[in-house]
Amino acid sequence: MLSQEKIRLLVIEDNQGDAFLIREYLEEISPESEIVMVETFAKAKVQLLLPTKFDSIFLDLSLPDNSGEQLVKEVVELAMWTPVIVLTGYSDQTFGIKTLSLGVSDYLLKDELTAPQLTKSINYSIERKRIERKLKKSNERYEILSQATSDTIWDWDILTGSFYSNHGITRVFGYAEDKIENTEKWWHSKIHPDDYENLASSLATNFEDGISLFQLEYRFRCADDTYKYVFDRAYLILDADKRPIRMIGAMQDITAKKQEEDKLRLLESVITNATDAILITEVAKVPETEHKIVFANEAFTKITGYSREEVIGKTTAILTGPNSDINELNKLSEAQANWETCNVVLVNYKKNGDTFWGSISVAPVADKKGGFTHWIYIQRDVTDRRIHLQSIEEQNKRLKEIAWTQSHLVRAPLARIMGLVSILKDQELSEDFSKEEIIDNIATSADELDEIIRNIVQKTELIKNQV
Amino acid sequence: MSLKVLIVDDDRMIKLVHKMMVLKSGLCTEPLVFDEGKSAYDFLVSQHADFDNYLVLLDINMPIMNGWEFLDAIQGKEFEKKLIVVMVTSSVDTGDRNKAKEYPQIIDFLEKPLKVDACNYIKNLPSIASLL
Repeated sequence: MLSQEKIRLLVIEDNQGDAFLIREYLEEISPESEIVMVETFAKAKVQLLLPTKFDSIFLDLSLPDNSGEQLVKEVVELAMWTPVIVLTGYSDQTFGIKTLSLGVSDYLLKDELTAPQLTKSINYSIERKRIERKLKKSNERYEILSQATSDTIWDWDILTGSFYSNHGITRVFGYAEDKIENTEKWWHSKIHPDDYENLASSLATNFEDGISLFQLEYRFRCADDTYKYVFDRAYLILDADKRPIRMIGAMQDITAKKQEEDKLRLLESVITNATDAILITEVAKVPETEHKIVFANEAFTKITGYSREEVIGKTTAILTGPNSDINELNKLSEAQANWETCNVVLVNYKKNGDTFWGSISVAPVADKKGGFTHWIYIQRDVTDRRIHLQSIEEQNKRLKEIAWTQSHLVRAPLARIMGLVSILKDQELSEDFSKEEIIDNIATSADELDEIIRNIVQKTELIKNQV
Repeated sequence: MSLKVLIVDDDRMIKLVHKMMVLKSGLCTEPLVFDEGKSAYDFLVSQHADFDNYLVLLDINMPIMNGWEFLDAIQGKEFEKKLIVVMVTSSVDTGDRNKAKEYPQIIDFLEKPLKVDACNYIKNLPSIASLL
C-alpha cells in the first residue's frame, strides 16, 4: 500500500518489455494512480516542464537520446522536488550507487523488482524528499535571518570546542575570513580581560545549574584591537542528564548605546554635583495645570532643606511665599506661557520657613519632535551677594549725601575767599575795605573751610567702618 | 527805563564783594543789599513803584526766608512782572535747576563769588540788555 492513494508517476523507459513490467507492478500497488509512460529524454523533458507535477519519477539509465551521468543530472534538475528512482540492470549496479550522490533518491535493480520493494521505494523517496525540502526551507530561513540581522550569531559545540559564527564576526568586528579560527579558544581570547572573569562565572552558573537562558554585557575585541560593547543573548542546550552540550547565541553591538549612556552619566554627574540647586518639572499634559517636579539635585535639598521625596510630585509654588516679588513671579509665568527662557531674582522659602534670595534661570526642554516636555530651574542662593549689594548701595547713598551737603558747605567759605582775594588784587576796589579787614576775613573763611573738610573726613571714616 | 539791582545774601563779605562787582561792571550805580529774603520782599511790597524793573541776585540758603520762599512769596503780587531773578549760590545742583523751571522770573544760575566778568555776562543777557 502506498502512503498516498492517488499519485502521479512518470516512467522513462525505452525498453518496451521493462516498461510493461513496471506498469504492471505500479497498477497493482496503486490502481488509482496516474502513470505516464515515455521512452525518450526529450519526451520526459516535455512532461517535466508541464505545470502538473509528478510524485515520483522512474528513470532508465540508457535512453536513445541521453544516458548515464548526463541524463541523471538533467532529469534531477528538471524534477526539482520530485524524487527520482533509477532503474538499472546488473551491469550498471556500480553506477546506480553513484547516482545517489547526483541527487537520485533510490536505485532499483530491474531484474529483482517486486511490488513490495517498489512500494517501499516510492514511499521512502517521497517522504525523504519532503523532509529534505523542509530542511532546505528551514536552512534558507536561517540564512536569510542571519543575513538580515546585525547581530553576530554564534554556535558553540561544547563537547568538541568548535565555535562557528555568521558573517557578523566580519561585518561587526572586522575579522577577515582567513583570520577567523573556529575554536572556543580563539573566541574566548577576544573577550576583554577585565570582563573575562565575569563572563566565565556567569557561564559556570548556567552550566552548573543547567539554566538554558543566558545573557550578559561584555567587551569583545575587534580585528583592529579596539573593543566593542556587546549584549550577548544565548541559549544553552542540555542533554538528558542536564549536561551542557551546545550553546547558540546572538551578540548585539551596543557600543553606540553604551557611549551614549556614558555621556548621559557624565552629564548627570554635572547636575548631581552642581552647587546650584537644579529642579526639573514635567510639562503638564492637561493645559492650565501646574508642572510637577520630577527631579531635584543634591544642592537643592541642601539649600532648601526639603528632601527629594518631599518635593517630587509637588510644584515650585512650595518655594514661594508672601515676600516673593509678584512682579518677578509674573515675569516668570509670562515667559513660561511663551516657552521662553527667563531669569528672575526671588525671595524663596526653605522648608523651615527661612527665606533666601534665589537667582533663578528657567529654560524649557524640547523632545526630538520639538515639543516642550520639561522645564529646568537652576537656582543659586544669592542671599550673601544680595545683602552685600544692599549694604554697598546703602553706603553709596550715604556717601553721596555727604558729598552733596558737604560740597555746599565747602563752597560757601571758598566763594568768600575767592571774592575777597579778587578785591585784594584790585587796589581800586578795595578802597572801601581796610586790607587788614579783608585778610582777617580770608583767614576766618580758611579756618571755616578747614573745619568743614575735617568734618567730612570724619563722617566718611565712620561710614567706612560701619561696612 | 530803569533797572534796580537787589543783592540778597546772608554772608556779609559776599554781599560786599557782590556789591563792588555790580558797581564796577556798571550793572547798577546804587545796588541795594539785603540780609535775607524777607527784608527784600518787604522792601518790594512797600517801594516797588520806585522803579520799573528789579534784578534780584538771589542766594538760596538764608535764615528767615530763603531764596525759594522769597520766590513763592512774590508769585501773584502786582510787582511780580517787574522782577528778573538770577540765582547766585555757592554750588548748583540739578535739583535746584529743575526746581527753577517752576519760576518764570529766573533767567539764570550763577556760582558765587560773582566777579566783574559774571556781572558783564548778566548785563549782556537779552532780557537785561534791553532794559539798560
